[in-house]
Amino acid sequence: MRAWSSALGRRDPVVKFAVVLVLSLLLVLVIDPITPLLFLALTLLAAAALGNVSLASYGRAFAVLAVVGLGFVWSNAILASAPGETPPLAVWGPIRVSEAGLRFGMAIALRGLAIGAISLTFVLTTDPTRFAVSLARNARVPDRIAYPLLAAYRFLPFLTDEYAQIHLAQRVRGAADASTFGGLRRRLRELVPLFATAVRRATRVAVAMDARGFAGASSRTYLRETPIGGGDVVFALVAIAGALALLWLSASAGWLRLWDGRFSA
Amino acid sequence: MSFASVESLTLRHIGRRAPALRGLDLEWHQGERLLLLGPSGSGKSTLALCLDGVIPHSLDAHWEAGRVVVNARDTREARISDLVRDVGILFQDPEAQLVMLEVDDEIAFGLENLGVPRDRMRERIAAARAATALDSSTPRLLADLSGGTKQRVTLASLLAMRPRGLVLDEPTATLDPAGAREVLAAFASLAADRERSLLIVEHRVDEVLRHVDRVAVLDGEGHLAMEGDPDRVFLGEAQRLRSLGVWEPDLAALARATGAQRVPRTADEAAALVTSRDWPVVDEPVASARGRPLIAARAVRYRYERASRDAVAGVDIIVAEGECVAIVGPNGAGKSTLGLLLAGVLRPSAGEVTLAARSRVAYVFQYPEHQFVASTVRADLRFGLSACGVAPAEADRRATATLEQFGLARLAEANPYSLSHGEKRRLSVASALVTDPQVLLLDEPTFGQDRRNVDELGALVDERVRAGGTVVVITHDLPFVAAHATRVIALADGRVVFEGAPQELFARADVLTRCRLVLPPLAEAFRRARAQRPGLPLISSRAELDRALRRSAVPA
Repeated sequence: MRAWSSALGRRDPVVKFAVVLVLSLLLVLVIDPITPLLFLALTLLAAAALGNVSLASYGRAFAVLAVVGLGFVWSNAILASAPGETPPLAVWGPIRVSEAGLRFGMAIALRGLAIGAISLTFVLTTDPTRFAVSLARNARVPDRIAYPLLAAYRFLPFLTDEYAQIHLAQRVRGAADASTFGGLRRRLRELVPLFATAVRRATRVAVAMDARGFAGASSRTYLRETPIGGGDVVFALVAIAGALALLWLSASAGWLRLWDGRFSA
Repeated sequence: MSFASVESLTLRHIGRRAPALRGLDLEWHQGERLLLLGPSGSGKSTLALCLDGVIPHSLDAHWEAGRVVVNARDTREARISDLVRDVGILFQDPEAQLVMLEVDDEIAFGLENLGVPRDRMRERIAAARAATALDSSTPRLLADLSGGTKQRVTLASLLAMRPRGLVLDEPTATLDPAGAREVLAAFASLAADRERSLLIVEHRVDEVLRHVDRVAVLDGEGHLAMEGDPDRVFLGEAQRLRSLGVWEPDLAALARATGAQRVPRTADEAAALVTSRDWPVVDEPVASARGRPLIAARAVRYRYERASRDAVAGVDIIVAEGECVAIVGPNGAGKSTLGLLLAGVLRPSAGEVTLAARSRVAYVFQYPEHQFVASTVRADLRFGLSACGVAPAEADRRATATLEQFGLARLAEANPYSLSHGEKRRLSVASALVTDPQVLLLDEPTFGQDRRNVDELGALVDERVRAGGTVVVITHDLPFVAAHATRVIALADGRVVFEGAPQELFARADVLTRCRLVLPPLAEAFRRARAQRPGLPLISSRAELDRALRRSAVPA
């Protein structure tokens, strides 16, 4: 909540979301490992300085992304070797690690990390209520979609708790199914009550919303003001200019490589 | 003058064979405060949804006959956006009706839908907050509020829309006793204003009785069974209410016992009735002699992953053969965690739980559906038996016997999810008992159940305890504790703050407050009376009252 009132937090969520999309699209085109690293550094710097976000909040998400990323590095390093181009970096029996493959793998991993950091900065500095209202008012997303999104956001912690309860409740019934598919079958069985309660609760929320006039609201007003101001325009311009500057820097240093339409190194 | 009238309404839910309401006629007068009662499944909620126009505008149903007129508008012809201006509806579970993340946004939600301009919204939000005692000390985020406060926010969001009528459909059913008291206090101030027509469905009848003008009772078939003045209904029709499975005020039983013509509305009025007659001497309850220890917990601690404090923080208790132990305490005190530790489902982070040799604990969760594992009632019963390694032929025999015992034989091939509220509860208990465990552990078994189901469950607990079995009940329901428990353990912040007989607990105001518990109406009445006339018995529950009356009917 502290981050919501920071310089980044005060920016209009829809403008911020658009910037996140643009930056992510730019990054998708980059296939060298250095440029994403620059983006990552700048994002974390901006988050700490302007977003009032403690860098520790990135830790958990990064741990997950890092594991996935290492997988990419490894698989590309050994699989994406183009025979006959350059001599392999290392050979262990049938495994040949090529330099091009290693570089491409690292590029994908760091790109994932950079996009993850940008998205997470958005999540950490955005008040979900303002995002929903701004979606409805500034992005013209129908209320019928924007508000249920908010209700769904409330729903997630409930589902997690509910699943933990069901898991325990089913375990109490006993029957450790030792067969090959026992674990899978048990998981599936646990999904049945989860699904049943989720559906029932979603229906109830929908009914409660209609009972407060959500259905058939013809001229809806809004408690929250969500004007897009000069600050938002400046933010968007600065963010995109910063991204272009990084690309230019990387290009002039000779690091930048852009995607050329091929799916391997 | 009529505010709303229901005329010969017959309505059937999609996919159901039997109508939820059958030829129902009901008048709700302008400015009237009406209490609606009925067993679970009697169509009370359906009726509430019809009065609000949600049926048929938002939820489809087979409207077979009749009509509903609210504020001179036929609900089927009016638009729902107009109907919700006339009647607001408060549902059971605050979690299932909150839409936004912050208090003010939540209160504004309805106003936004009505198109109220922003500056007017601010005034209305302030007024609604004042009416429900939500002051500046209330946290801003809904996630930080207790259940009772959340429910007050929902009420505020309805009041802000300024409806002329308000339907409250079991507004306290999912709350702990202190949360229920918060919401009922808000209801009391609305009732005192007399600005709106109010219709409340509520089984804490003693608490709402003084705020209502009339009572209407639905039967299990969706007919209007009776209606009228509360004293006439509760004192004149007690027999029928009981056979319908409808909650009646505990104090109505006291009124009958003392020959009063009026159900007491306050604790003082009730205490006056108690002192107006003689009572047989009732043995002062003592913590009953305990049998062989079955479960022993020593210095048990448990901390959930990523939690900052222990959910159970050093508990020493013993559960013995032949007793019914109640575990009480506020939400988050660690009751269910302790239950799971006693049952061996969770392993303590420190300390140990030991179970007597050849003993098993069966745990029945609060929501029966969480434990269903099969697609038919019979298969669900057999599941536990085969898990215990019982041979198929023997499993069949025991499943059939249990189906009979729990009145589920007729439903043996039905899907557990298709059962009624009470039947689901019965199946979950049956599935736990079919394997004949030494200890039965029930987590909030009376939550949201009607009187018949609670009475049934109470009888089952008594019977097991009498037969030497052991029952542990985790509950907020003090009347149930008073009637069935032999010992109470009160938890707060993961520690035992009290251990003793139910009667001793009721004398400890400090523990009750700390555990967010509220003294049952009969206990309160007898305690006040005894302060004036020492020597009166301490009666806390209907069961004890009935026992005392039986004893005084037989001359010594």
